[in-house]
Amino acid sequence: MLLHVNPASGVPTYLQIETQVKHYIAAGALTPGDALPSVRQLASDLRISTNTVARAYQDLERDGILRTIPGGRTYVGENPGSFLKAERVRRLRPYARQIAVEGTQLRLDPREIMQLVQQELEALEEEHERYGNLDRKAR
Amino acid sequence: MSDMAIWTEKLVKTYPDVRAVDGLNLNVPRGVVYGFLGRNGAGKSSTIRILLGLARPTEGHGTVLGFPIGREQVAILERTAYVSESKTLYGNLTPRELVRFTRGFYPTWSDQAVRKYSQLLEIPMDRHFSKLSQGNRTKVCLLLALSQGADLLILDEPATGLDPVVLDEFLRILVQDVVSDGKTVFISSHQLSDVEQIADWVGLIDHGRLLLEARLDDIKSEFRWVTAAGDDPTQTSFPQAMLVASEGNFHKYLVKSGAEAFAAQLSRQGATIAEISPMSLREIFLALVRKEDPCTPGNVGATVAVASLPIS
Amino acid sequence: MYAWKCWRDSRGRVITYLIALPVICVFFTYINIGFNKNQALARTFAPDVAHAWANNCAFVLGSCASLFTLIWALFLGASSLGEEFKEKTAEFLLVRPRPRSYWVWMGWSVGVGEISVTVFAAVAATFGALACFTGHVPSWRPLAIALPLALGGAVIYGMTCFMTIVARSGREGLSYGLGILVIHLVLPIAVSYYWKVDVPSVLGFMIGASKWIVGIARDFPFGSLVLWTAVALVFPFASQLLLQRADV
Repeated sequence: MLLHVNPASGVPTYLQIETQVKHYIAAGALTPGDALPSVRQLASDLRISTNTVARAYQDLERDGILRTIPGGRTYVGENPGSFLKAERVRRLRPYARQIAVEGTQLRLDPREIMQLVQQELEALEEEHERYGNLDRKAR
Repeated sequence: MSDMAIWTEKLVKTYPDVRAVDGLNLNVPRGVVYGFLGRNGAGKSSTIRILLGLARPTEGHGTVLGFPIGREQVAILERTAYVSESKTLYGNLTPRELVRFTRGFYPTWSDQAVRKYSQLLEIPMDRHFSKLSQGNRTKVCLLLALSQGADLLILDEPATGLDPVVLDEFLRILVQDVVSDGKTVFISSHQLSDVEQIADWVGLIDHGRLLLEARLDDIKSEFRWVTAAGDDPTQTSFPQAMLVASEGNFHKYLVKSGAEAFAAQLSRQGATIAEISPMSLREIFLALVRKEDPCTPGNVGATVAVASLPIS
Repeated sequence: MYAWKCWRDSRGRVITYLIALPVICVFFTYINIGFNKNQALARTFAPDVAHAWANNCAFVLGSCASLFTLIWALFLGASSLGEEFKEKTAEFLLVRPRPRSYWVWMGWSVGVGEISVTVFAAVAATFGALACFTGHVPSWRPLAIALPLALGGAVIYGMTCFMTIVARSGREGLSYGLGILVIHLVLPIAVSYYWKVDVPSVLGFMIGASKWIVGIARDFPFGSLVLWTAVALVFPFASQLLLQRADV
């Protein structure tokens, strides 16, 4: 798994890692059961503090996205079906608000904003299929 | 305090003509990379010298790795590795001889580490130190520090003279072999990009006291530029926001926390928010140490408290 | 480790003096005794072998070697801790996990050891030369002259080390030390000449003790021994106090 972080961006490094991991999972590049690099290995590769990577992994684990075997490696977890739907909705709401706020400030009307979201969902679907095909070819 | 790697309380150091350290309260947790930032003359070197027992504080006290500074200095020095800004070692000795000199002082010394790092950092081990380039001198100092087996590394400008490849290798070693083992790294550096990359915590010192001490992630989550267009630049009840530039109708604010709320307040006052953007460490540093608000002279920046997650 | 480093730093000088001082002493002995193979002249200088031995030791070792030892100790002292400040290596050294007293006393011990070895080599060489030139050995006592010589050397060495720490420089410390040594040697002579008062001098002690050892003088300068032993120890102790209070 190749991650990239930009320490000079205003986004905290641990968030960048979390976002990228989530993206890979959403796009199907990482599937449940895949192993992630160890904290030490990833930190060393990225030349960032192990604490930063540890925090990212911990957050993702808390959200049910990753799963760590005690004393062992970290794996992509099964789909977070363990969370109630209401909880999942609650987690997404801040992002929805952000889109609403940003979109409004950019003077886009609600229809255009919804269209954008739709487009992104479709693109993600495409990526998922593409990775799925690669996987099948590999096997 | 003894669970902190470094802790000081009201530390003061005065020289005949200047108050180099002026009530410093450092809190460096164990097992983190702490970036100690500040302008030249801000008090960084004086602070480090006090921690190492090279200078005695005028007032105040502190501990390093749980041991009181001054009273149990030898115990501190047994567990602390130091790379000085000057990187001056004995000119008439070779790196190999310098290793021989240094290793006898530390029961935790690792000869294996010497072999490994001297290769990784490409150090000419048999050339006299006085004949080494600046970069090689730095590498030798780093080698000695890394092989010591210390619990705390205090590094003052560790990148001096290092080319990007060696610097990258050093950062990798630091992360893989030092931080991963739960050791603490205290870096004082002007290379903000390196600090930004590797640090967990940041302490910003100016005129002898801390302007800011918090997790880097939290600082980055909180600090924002807010650019807005409107005709009333003065905001009333937002102490964490500071106007830094104005051009006609456009105004740029530095907001230390609560940027969303501030933007909302401006909106209510009729302004149009153009952008809320994050700040790099360099921008934060410059904004904080350039205290004067250019629009209202005399507006000295206050010490910032950034709520950080409790240390677990 | 530090002892090794002290040796390493002074290695060149010690070896030079280890060769030079015995050679000088043997040379003077040759001039004093070996050269005067003329029997008549020899009888004027010393009626018998034992006396020849005593006179020679008192002169060559008690006086000349003493003076050279003091000068040698001065230069050796210039390369100690004070020089670290000048070279900016004091920071590196004093961050090693040892108390400040350790650096002072370890350095002092190595220096005194080096002086002692050099002095003993000179005394032994003179002893050997005398045995060669005169044909036999009246007594082994002259070898003990190494002790007051070493003590005198230790005094001046400690004084110079202290001065280098005060001045934070080897060269300036050497200048101060040289000034103090010159005054210390000249002043007693002037004072005793003009005011007939005896001011204790380390060189005086070295000469007096040497004379007693070879039997020329009757009284052992016990008071001086106590005084100069105390002075020899006071200087490193003062160095320690100074270093403990210093900001590096």
